[in-house]
Amino acid sequence: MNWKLTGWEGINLSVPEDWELSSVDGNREKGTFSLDDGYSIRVEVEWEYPKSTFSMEKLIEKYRQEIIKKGKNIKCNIVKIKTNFFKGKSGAILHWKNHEEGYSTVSYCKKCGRVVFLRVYFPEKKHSKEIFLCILNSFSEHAEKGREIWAIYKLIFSAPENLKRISSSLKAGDITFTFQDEKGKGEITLSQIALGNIILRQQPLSAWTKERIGGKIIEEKQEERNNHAYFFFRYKKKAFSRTWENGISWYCPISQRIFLVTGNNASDLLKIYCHETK
Amino acid sequence: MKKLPIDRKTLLNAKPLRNTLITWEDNGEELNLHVPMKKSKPSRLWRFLFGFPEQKNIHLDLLGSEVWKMCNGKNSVQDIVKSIQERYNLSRKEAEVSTLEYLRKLMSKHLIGLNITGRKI
Repeated sequence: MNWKLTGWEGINLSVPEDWELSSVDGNREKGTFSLDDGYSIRVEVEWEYPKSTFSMEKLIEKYRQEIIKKGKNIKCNIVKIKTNFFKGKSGAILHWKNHEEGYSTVSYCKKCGRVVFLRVYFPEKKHSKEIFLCILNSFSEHAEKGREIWAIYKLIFSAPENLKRISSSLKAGDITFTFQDEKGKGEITLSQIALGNIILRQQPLSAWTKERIGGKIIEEKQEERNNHAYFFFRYKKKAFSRTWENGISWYCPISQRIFLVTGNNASDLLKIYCHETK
Repeated sequence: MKKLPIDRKTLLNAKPLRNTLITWEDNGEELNLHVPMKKSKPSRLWRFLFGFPEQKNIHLDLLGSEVWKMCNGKNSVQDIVKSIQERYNLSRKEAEVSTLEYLRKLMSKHLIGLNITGRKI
């Protein structure tokens, strides 16, 4: 079985290759995302900062009762599984069964201060424990070395943890993220566009970039590095704006995708893996 | 747009079939479809009065042409999605969403139909 990384708002986990993001909601403080295998939901992740009066035991029991309430004839037990998942955090693993099987975890991470609920569903009850353990062992809910990894569909990049996601657009083949710094002044926008080879058949990268950003470009430079065509530019976002922004766009022939990053020092802040390295 | 009254699994196993009245010419990698217009008396009168053409021409781009060629009644929607996914290095969801949307558009223009285990819709 092939595995791939999924990362959203500081939460990372490895899942089977055909499990892909199906919904996202919220922000770093409170939110949720789910993954599906094309037919049904397989993973749900939910996170929030707990209230000041917070008891892990009460939370686990409340969570267990919620699972029992949700399904008919459901049996839900707290299980002990040999795993290094709970290193440095408190929580529990729950195993439940009715017409389908599932594992749920509730954990509190002292480092990031969030309570994270993870639910993994197995409608066909095959290799459920093995798959769940692999997911669990890869699960982390905070940034490592000050950087958060974002991984959805075929886009993987890391960003400093002090950058806050302010918006994202997840259209098929056109993904855009916008981040803002702590002071709320600087913004960085990253876009990944699929089918780059088809798009660039009709127009060069520079023309495509100009059309996409729609701003006024004052400086531009084209370069080729590691078989990737790069287009560097400085541009004015709004007609009457006094500030200029930097931008880079490049085409990766391996992933057949176009990447576009705009903002100040954008290239230094975001580390983008434009194709899979095996 | 009106939603298809079938579930996802049935839709993926369905086999798209081209409208047999449509002809096309191959311009290398891209296709030009020639769609005949209605032959009812009022539409013939309209064409005679206002000089409307006998057929409508639709140009398909590279990707659209590839999908069109695969709509031969033998490939299922799943096969088409898989082929597009592999050829253009897309994720499952990216390939599926865009291919299904494109097939829906072709269906809404009556250019293709879906063969669901012998039943045509």
